[in-house]
Amino acid sequence: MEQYATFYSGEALYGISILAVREINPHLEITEVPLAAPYINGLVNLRGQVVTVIDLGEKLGIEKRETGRKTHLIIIKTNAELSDIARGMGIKTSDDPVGLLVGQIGDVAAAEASDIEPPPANMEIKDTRNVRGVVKLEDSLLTLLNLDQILGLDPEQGPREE
Amino acid sequence: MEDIQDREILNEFVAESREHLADIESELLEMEEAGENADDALINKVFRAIHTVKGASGFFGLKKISGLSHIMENLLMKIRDKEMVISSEGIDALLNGADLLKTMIDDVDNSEAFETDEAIASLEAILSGGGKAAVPEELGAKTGGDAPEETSEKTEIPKEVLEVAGKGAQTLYRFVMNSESVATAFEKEKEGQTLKDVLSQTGEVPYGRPDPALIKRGDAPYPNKVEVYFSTILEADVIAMILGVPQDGIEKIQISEAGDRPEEKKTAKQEKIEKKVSKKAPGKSAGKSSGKKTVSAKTSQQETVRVSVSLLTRLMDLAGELVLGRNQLLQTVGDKELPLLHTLSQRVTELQENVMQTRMQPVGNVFNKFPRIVRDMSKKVSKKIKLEIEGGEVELDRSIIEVIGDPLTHLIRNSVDHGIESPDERVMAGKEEEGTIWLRAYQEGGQVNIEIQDDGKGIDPAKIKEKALEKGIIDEEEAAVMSNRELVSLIFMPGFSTVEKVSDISGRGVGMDVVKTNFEKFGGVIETNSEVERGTTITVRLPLTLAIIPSIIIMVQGHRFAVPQVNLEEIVRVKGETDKTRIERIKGNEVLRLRGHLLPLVRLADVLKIPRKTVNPVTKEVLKDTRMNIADRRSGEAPVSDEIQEQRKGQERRKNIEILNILVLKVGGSHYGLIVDRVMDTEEIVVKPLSKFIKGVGAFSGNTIMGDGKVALILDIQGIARLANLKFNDIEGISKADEALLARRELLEKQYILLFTVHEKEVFVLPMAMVARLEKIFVRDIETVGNREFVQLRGSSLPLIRLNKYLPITPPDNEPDSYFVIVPKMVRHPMGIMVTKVLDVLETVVDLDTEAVHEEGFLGTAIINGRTTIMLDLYKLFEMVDPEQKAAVVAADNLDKAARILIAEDTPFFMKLATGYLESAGYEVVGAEDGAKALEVLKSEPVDLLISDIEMPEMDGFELIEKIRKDPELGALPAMALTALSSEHYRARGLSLGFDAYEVKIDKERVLATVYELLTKKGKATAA
Repeated sequence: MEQYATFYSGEALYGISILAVREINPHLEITEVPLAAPYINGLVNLRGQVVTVIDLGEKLGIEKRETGRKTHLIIIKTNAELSDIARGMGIKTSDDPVGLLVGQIGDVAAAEASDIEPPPANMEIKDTRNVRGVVKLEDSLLTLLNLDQILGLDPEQGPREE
Repeated sequence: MEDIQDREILNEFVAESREHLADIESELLEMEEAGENADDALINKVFRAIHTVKGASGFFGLKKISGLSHIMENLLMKIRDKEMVISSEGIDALLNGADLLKTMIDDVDNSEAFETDEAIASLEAILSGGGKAAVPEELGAKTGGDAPEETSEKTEIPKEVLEVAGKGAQTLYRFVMNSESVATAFEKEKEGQTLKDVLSQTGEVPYGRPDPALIKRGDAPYPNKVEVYFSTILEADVIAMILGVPQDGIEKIQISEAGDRPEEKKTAKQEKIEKKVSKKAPGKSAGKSSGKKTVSAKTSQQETVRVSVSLLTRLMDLAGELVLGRNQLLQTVGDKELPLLHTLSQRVTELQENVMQTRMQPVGNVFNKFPRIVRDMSKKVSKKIKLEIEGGEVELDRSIIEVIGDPLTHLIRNSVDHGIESPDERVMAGKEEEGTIWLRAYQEGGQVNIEIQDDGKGIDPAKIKEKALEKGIIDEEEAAVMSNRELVSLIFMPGFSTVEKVSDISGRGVGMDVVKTNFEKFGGVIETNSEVERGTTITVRLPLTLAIIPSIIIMVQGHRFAVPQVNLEEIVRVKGETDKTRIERIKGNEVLRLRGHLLPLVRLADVLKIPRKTVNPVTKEVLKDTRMNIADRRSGEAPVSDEIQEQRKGQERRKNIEILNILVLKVGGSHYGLIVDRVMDTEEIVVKPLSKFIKGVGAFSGNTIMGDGKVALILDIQGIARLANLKFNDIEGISKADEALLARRELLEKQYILLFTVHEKEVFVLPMAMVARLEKIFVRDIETVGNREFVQLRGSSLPLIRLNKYLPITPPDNEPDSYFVIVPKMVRHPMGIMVTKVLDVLETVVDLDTEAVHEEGFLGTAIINGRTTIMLDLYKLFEMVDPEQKAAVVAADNLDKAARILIAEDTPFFMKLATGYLESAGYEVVGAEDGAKALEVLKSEPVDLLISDIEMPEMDGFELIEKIRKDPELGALPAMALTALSSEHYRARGLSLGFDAYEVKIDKERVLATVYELLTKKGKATAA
């Protein structure tokens, strides 16, 4: 049984392993980075540490969310911060401190590995490498994200033709 | 396996041995250089280092290490005892031994597997080659005497002893010598030496009883009980060997007043490697100055502790965070004056500075390895090279120290390999046989400069050019405009020289691009300065530290950035309205004219593609507007109201009135101006590395957290230039041509001009430099002789010229009552030019157009004060008036044959003027626009005399004459400098470089006389 932190980006509900989450912050003041990739929202100061903010919606190729009051920043543990258990489960993140800019925060959801189904064909996220799979919850569909891929340095955005 | 404690002690042994061996190399080299005069203290130091290694390795049962160090110790002992002369072979063997020791110690667990036989054999060969049989055993056998009971005595320590006690790294001993050991001590000494002399060779004798200074060699019988206090760096066992005193009779004296000195005395080197708590750096590597001993003595008194680097790094980080926190606190508190907070703030700054200091290390740590490299390499390539090291005590952050070694080695190797010539070549070139490489470090501003200079053959720009063209790094067009300096800097281009050796082009370049990138990685900047035949200097500018840098905060469209002050030369504020002329567009680049130089400009907002925000005055809505998408908008969906368009125009207009803030930034040898919106404060910022997501952008070098807690990006000055596609070569090419133009303008500007008319339809101009005076005359005073007119002025009669009589100009409508008369300078027979009106005397730029008028007597036209004016050719005019003037001139007719004169002159006005009078004097004249072209002409056509301007683009007159005098074909060509630079300094320089004469432009008579003189001299010379 693995636990997932869930959150919204646009209309859809997404989840990442709770073991990869360091903390969740309300919106912090962001310094924009000119010329950076469009999904790089900017940099924030998290208690003296500079965290790169990735706009999840933009990164996933779904509509970019306005950075309004309802946004949250999910600070992801760096590879070095991950616990042995997390590593044992094959979780990989990034060497740099990264925050994911998302909308509303949802509950913590639990799912067995066997509950995870392959992503449906009509999914909003076109690049399926970003998705680990989906889990059917009582009232919604939870899309589990592949952090390793999302936090990787992939210059190409959006759908990719195979 | 071994237990942990042993492991720890072993690690300690490794660390200490490394430190001992670190200096050995340079010390051995020093010994080699000093030869027989080698300092005893130096030899002892080397000896002791090896001795310590030997002792400790024996303790751990490291047989190979102790075996090798043992034999090295033996050899060193012989050298120290003057039983053997230091030979180059001996030093070689010792150096090899030391190298092997180092390798074994680095891999101490496998040290037993190393092959030491060869090294030992070569050391043994040297040992047996010189000197007598092993002395140590002999000495060791001579033990005995009555010392032991003496040592048990509790003696009062004499006062003299306390004064010198344990100076520096020395230890104080007390022992008693019997007659036998006194004899041993005297064994190898000359007659008449005292015991004090003998002991003083290896230490100090503050006290002895009876006085050792009174015990002379040969004055046997020697006293059987000499009590000696002996301060030395030697260990007791060594003293025992040398003096034949039983080792257990040697008492180590601890003096409480002198503080708690640790059992194991540290050498100066050890101190240096350990992190210093104190700020002063030991200057061991500063060279072989006599001050060295005192330096090391002083530093070894500093107390040090070993601290792990990771702990220091953590401390460093924490100090950085503390500074940030302090800044944030100050910002929150605002302007309130809180003395306590101020004090706290001060302390934080001090704390941070001191923590920073702990990371600093002398650059000598890196420099120390070069004497060996230079020595070994120069042997290999059969050259004689000495390395002079200066400024080894200059400190740099350890992170920088760690990474500069390799690129510096590369540069040094290049100097040895390609820079310094072979001894034969050097002698041929009139240089000393032995080449010199200087390795210097010095602090300049917030930076440390490291210079690698050699007195070798330098880098020939012509050959670099050839090579670069061949390799396709530059094209012909680029090559044509590149300065020598730019050409030389091509060696840093990737692909300039990769595989093949470039020594044939007297160049560098093997992987120089890599060297450059290595330095640039941590903010270093590399510059080359080379003079053919004289040598090459490569300067590397390094930041003192990478962690905290002073920077200036700037704003662009609400974005805040930090610019490292290291890159900042100055800030220029240009008022859009008044200084608009200072900003020009050249080849699509905006440039600022700054003190006669062209500075390419970069608008930061444009480079970073930051959209301009415009606020709609009605709705207060923020509109994003970039110039890039204006076209899109026009074509499309989002219609912008005329009102806003208007508004925008208004803003554009206002932009012109706005003050432009331009940061003048330095990138390598080039500069550019960065236009920003606002310049804020300077701030010490803590640099934090960029995340991988942002590194690729190429515009930033790091980020930092500002006082208000927000993150700010640090601009990468070089990256910005790259992104802006700044081609400095272009700009500099233009700038050079432009500078020449400006210089020319300045020359003309300095000559005031006189504007006048005969008829108001035409305005004439003459340089004031050609005008002796102006007189007013009345028509009634004019006298007529034949068809000539004269006027009496100050007792002499001045011939008058009506211009319209000789030149195709409009005559005055009717004869006025009076005229002004211009009396020119520097003509043989004074004449007065009659003009009706003198309009003005002013200082202005005369840009002469020689194409517009071709009539005799006119030099050309120029626009002055918005009117076309005609420049008169006075010389021509006078010839027209008085053909005798021409004859009066020392003309070419007197020469055997018509001489051919080359004029190198970039100003059309002067060119035409000089050509004019030289041709009318009967010479054949060829023209060249600059020095380079003149040289081409000289090489392809016969020329009898050169007249050259000094200030010219491309190649100036000084360079031209230098080249000519060096050329075997042209060397004897008579040459005259003809210039507007009349200062004595220039004159002296011109003559010293090889001009035969130096004349000022306007003086036609003198010029012609000099031309004649030079040509006749030449004729005589060739005839003879």
